[in-house]
Amino acid sequence: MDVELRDLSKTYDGASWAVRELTLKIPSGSIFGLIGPNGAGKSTTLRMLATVVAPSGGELLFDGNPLPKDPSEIRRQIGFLGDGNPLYKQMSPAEYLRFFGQCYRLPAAELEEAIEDTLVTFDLAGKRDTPSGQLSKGMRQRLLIARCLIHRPRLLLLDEPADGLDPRSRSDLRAILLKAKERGVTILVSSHILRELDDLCDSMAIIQRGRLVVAGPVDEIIEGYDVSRFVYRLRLLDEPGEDGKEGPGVRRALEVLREHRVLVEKTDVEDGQPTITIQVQGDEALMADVLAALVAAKVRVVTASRLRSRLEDVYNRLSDDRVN
Amino acid sequence: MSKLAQLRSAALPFVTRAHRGGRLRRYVLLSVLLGILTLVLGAWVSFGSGPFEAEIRRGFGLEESRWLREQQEFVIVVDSREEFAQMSAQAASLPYDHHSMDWNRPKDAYDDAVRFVTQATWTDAPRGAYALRDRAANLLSSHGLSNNPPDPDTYYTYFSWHDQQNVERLEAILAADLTPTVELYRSPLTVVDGIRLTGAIAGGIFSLLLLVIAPLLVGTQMAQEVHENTLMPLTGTALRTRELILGMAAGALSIVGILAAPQALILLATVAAAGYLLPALGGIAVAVVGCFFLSMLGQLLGYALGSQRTPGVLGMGLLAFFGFIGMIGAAFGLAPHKQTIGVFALLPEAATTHLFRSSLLPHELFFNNWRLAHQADFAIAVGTVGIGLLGLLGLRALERRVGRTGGSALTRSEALLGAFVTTVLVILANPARNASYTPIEASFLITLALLSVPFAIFLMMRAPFAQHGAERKPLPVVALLSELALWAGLHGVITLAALGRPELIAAVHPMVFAYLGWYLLVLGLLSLRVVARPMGIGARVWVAFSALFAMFAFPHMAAWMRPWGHHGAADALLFLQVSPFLGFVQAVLLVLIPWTLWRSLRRAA
Repeated sequence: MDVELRDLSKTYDGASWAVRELTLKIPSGSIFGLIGPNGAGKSTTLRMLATVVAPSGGELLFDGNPLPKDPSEIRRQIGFLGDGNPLYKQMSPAEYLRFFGQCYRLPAAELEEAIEDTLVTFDLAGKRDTPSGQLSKGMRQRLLIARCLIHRPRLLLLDEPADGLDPRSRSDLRAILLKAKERGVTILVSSHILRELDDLCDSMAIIQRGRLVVAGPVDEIIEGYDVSRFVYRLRLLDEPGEDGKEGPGVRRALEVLREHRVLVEKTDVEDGQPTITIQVQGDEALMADVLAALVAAKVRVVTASRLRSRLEDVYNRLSDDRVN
Repeated sequence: MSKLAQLRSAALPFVTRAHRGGRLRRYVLLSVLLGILTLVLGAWVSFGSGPFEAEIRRGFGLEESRWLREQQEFVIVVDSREEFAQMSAQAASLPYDHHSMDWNRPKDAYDDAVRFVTQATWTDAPRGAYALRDRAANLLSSHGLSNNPPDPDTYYTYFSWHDQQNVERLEAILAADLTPTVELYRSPLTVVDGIRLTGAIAGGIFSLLLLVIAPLLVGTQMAQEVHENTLMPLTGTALRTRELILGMAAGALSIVGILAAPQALILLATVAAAGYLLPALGGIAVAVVGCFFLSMLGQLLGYALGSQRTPGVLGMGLLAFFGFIGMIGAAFGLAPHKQTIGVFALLPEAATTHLFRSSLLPHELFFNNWRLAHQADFAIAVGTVGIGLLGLLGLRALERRVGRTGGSALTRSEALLGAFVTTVLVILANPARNASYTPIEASFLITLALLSVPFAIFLMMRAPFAQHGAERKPLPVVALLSELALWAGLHGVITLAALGRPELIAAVHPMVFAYLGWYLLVLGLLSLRVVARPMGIGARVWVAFSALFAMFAFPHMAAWMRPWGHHGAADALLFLQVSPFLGFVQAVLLVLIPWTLWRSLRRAA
């Protein structure tokens, strides 16, 4: 489903704007990230797109058509996970999915089939009759997302879907979204955790205080803002130096890094092992060269992990507010 | 898809949710058990010989008091076989030995009967009763009892030949030859009476389920959805807001429906066998309309308070509220009085109880009194239409609240319609309306006081939706207060028209209008203050105090409405009559309260 927002605005009180003149185009079948700090207007934007909150101004177009007066038909094509919507604790996953499937007016036979498919897809088949209150947090979140997909929507709106999920569940969520994308579903995800969206989104928009800051394909934005750097943390195995100074391994490493024009942000000691945080002004090939040089110089590198994404850097450059 | 099919489809998820797991089976089982319990209860109350059952029968007017029956039929009623044997032996030994000092009931009844017969023989009888009087005299002489005039200082027994009950009692004593019959107590009800009583019990349970339990469940469910923030995802589904509201109600009502179905069947079966079908059907219709209205009211309360109170606390509050109203309504319905028939218009509980009772156990008030019966029917008909309209307004308000559409919960015309309907219902229900001894001003003030609550609610529903940061939105205070003034004016016009004395308006003292205006101003400002602006602890205390103080407008209006007596300047401030200081405080508060409320509403703008 193609989604277009034209000067979309929302005020709850007639005085202050939650969202102001937001213009976006979300191509059909893409994953679109909506980024912004808390209170930026992400949730309000998603609620307007889900047609549960009426815009104060502007226009919403679904497949080029304006929102009809009775939005119930368009809602059948939308799956919406709002922020902080809990489950019914006494209902089992199967009952919960059946309940929402009926709210979307799915025919009985089709619904039962969809419930079975969804339970398997979301790895909840083993818990189909367990009350939701007894499920783990990750399972509950999966069930909430499953509810949004039970009626096979063409547009999926997820507000902070990875909130509270462990790394494994986040990875599962990513896989589920990619699978939905393969089915042609347009996905709009809001988050303030940029690493969640970095490699997932095709396009994104950054909004602050209800206004659009920038929007477009992720790569174009990163290139447009000249962010071609990665931040890594290196953990080394080294003997401590005299008088608490760097050991020989760290000194050698710093020398190699200087030769490769790598910016050293800081050096530290964690769990008794020296660490170096660096900015690499280039792509991952350059980092591979740096690592090879370090190894060649007999620096004993234990791990090299990326700390911040490029998207995060773009965001930091654009925003006044820092996000985690 | 037809509207009905859409509604059915909207109700499906909520009904399925309510019946999920083994719940449907359990509800059906409970329903059958409740039905059986009703039948058992009906049989027990109808034919049980215990004092509790007898008391219930007497409460319904199905059985006269035991003492009266013993007097009238000259019998001694006992509760056990042992007592029966003992009393029978004592009765067989009558007439008793006068030297014996033992007291027993047959002796007492014998003495009482002798005094009664003696009194009858010494009372002037009409010509037609000569034969009976002679029989009484002969009875006394046949028992060797002197026919001396009764000593009025020792015993006083009243007898009148013109009192049919006295004559019947005398005949019973003569027939029994001064020896009372001993009877083992058993219910005097026939099988037909038992069927009627069983139907009445089923009707009572049916009313309880529809008019107390149903709105309680519907309201609590809405409160739970709001409290746990599960309502918002539902608003994003394919259900329209109206369908969502009705569907949610249908889920809770389906449980009530399962429980109420056997009761309705028992009621209709008993009515078909031994009653009047039309009032019973009318009662069911009124109960359904009342259930709709109260369910919408429950949902509105659940929606408004669900975010502030836990569903459990709110549920208890709703139970107390609907239960209290239900009990009052049932009392009016079970024991009607010609002054309170109008209450049938206002309380569907009263109307339903009255109709169910009329279908099986009609109250003697309506025997051969067609005018009163028609008044009751008129009140019920008007009330049902009015309550139905208010239910629809409640649905509209919920639709806008839940769907966050429109500027306020009710439009101006809807609020006006609501004010008109409640005014008509309250004026109809006012017990003082037809009372010749009630002053007109009392009638006006009673209805104004009763209408203050619905008027305040309608005004709250007219206020623009409060959202985050709403304190910065200008509130059309003057326009909203004008609407309240219009409703109050409508109330005045309808009251005068109902009384048929429109000329009275000219005789009203300007001070009454001054206090009336002040009261309406404060009522309106308080209503808007509660819903349109955030309230801290200080604001809550001030609003509560202002509401209490506003009530003092009524004694002032009542005092200045008196058509007699001299009205001095001191009457303008009743507190002045207590002390000058309190009078000064009152004068300050009269200005301070509306000023502070107005300022808090306008300052934010």
